[in-house]
Amino acid sequence: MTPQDTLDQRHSTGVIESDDSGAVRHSASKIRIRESLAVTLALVGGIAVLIGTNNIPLRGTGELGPRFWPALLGWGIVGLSVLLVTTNVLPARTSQDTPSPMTRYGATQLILTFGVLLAYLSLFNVITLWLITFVTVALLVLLYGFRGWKVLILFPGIIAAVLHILFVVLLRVPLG
Amino acid sequence: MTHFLEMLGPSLVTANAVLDGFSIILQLDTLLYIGLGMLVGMLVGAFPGVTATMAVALAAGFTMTMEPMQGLAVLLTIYVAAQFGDRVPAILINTPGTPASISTTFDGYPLARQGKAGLAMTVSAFGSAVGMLVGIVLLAVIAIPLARFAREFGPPELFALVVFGLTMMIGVSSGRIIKGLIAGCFGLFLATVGRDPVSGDARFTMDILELNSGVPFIPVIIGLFGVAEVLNQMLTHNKNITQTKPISQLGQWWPDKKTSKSLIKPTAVGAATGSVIGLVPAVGGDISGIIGWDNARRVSKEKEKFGKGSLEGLMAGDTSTTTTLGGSVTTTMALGIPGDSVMAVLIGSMMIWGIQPGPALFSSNPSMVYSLVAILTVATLLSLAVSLLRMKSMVKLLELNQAYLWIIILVFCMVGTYSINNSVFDVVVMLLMGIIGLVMLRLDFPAGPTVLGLILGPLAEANLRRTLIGGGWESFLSSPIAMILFIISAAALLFPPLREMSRRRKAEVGEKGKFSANVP
Repeated sequence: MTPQDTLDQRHSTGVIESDDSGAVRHSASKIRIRESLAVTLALVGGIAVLIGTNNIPLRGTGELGPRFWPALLGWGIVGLSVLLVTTNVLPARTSQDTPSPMTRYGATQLILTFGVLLAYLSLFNVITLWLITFVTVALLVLLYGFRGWKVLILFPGIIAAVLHILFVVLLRVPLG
Repeated sequence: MTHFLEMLGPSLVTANAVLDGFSIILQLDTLLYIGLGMLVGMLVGAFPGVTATMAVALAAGFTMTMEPMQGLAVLLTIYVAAQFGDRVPAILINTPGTPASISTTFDGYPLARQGKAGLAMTVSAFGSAVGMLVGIVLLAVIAIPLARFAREFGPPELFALVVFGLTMMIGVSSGRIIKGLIAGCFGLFLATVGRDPVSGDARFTMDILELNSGVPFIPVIIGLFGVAEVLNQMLTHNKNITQTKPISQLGQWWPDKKTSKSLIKPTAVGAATGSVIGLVPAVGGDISGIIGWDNARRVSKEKEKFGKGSLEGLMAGDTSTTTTLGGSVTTTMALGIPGDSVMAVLIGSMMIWGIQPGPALFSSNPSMVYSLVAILTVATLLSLAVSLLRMKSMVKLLELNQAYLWIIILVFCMVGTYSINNSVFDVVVMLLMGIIGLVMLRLDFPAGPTVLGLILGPLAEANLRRTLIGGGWESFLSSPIAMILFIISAAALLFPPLREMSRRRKAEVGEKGKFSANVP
């Protein structure tokens, strides 16, 4: 297959062919579910924009006032979402740039990472930057399954030192 | 001094602008920043999964406190160097370091498997450097005339220009044009948050004080391009799959005389392809590389070698990819329309520095063109030199576990975003956009049009409203430039699906033909 064919065939119907390892294969029903989700989110977003637009105060600015452009965009999103039903959902068509499948392990890591990052953020300006960075990086290192003093002490130490020197000392960011 | 030169004539004014512009690289601090950007760019390019856009977005967080030209030196050099560094994983592990090196994998990896990785990396580095230099010449020659031409644009033309930029970015995302349009509308909507530019009324601020001045650019960009990508890699991570081992036998490094001579034609083909494609806003190096590779294959005497380890193919693809840089910088600075997603991030940074890219920038400050030319030239030559020196150490870097990179990126994203305005709110916006970006990525909505919409939104809204208040919809019909831009935009959106439909119809007809031939 030439690269031009690759470009041409990024848009496929029904089943996505498996790659060399045979890992990726999506049935028409799976594609429909995924595309329906995309349509739903876009539609909800478009309607939310339209509702929000009605709450913008009008002070005699007429048709071309502050509501004009957001309303145009809201209707645009709604119209395009409906169009997406006919182009992607009904024929079960999707781009071949489909991302790799999620893993349970990856999802757990993601949620825990987010928890650690939110805790890190909540301690900005409370505890000195190098210390919270050291603890955060060490926690993430543990979370991703690395063990041993080098990765648990040396790696977080280097990251904390670099951040402290760059942001606190050189850029004078008020982060303790 | 400038007044005296103006009296002497335009040629001396140009000479003055050139001297003024080039003086930037005589400053030691600028050279240091170029060196810093080069190191970051090389590393970024070498790690698959860290794109140049992501790196420039991250760096934007801590270049805000620099002088504009110094900040630009860092960001542009990262962009240039990433296009050298990304060839290494493309050749050694068949994985593009950034999307721009997709075409490098076609022949680079087969060459590496034949024990010619060293040769492939040398040829690729020279191809990339030649492409960059051709692009830089293009920038020096056409940037100012283009800016002067665009300066005549009124509200209808400027609105049409924004539509043109947005649709070009969407039109190239083959197979997801409608999703690209939705993503673009989402970006345009984000740009409406804050005070209405005409009446001053609050729109979508939800009584959050920080939103009165609008959704902050840089946190959105870092969230969409940096955090979302890391989260997606994490989400799809499979602990049972081990990383691909890079090829460590590099073999011969330098091409002989005969081989060097055979590379002249593909270099010319690649440079010509990249020069044309680079001027189309929003079409990046990835597409240019593939088209340049295909063009070189068509004119080659050894077509059969393409895709199986052809140095000609490697040279053409890499030259074509990097030549687009000149065009990208030109359209970004002269028209205010980002040449690609990296340039969209760059516009965001420039606006925070108080520089508004667009027709007025180069025509009122021509020395800036030459400063950019100087920075890009030094960055290219430095990256080429380092590319020829550092190769063996890069092989070691490719063995580093990706999870270390996630940690570094996430922590830098957070502190970098905070440092822009010393605002926790900005970090919250960045994390939120990271989640939105992840959902977009999973559902195949491109992030580029969202960023472009956010950046160009105020320009689009203000010019549309001005046009409609001034003369109604007829104003567009009476402007030939606006009409031409609209027609090209419509063609960019309609041509790919129409071609796809005709391809499918032909395939169906072929199938039916086969079926009827088999029926006795």
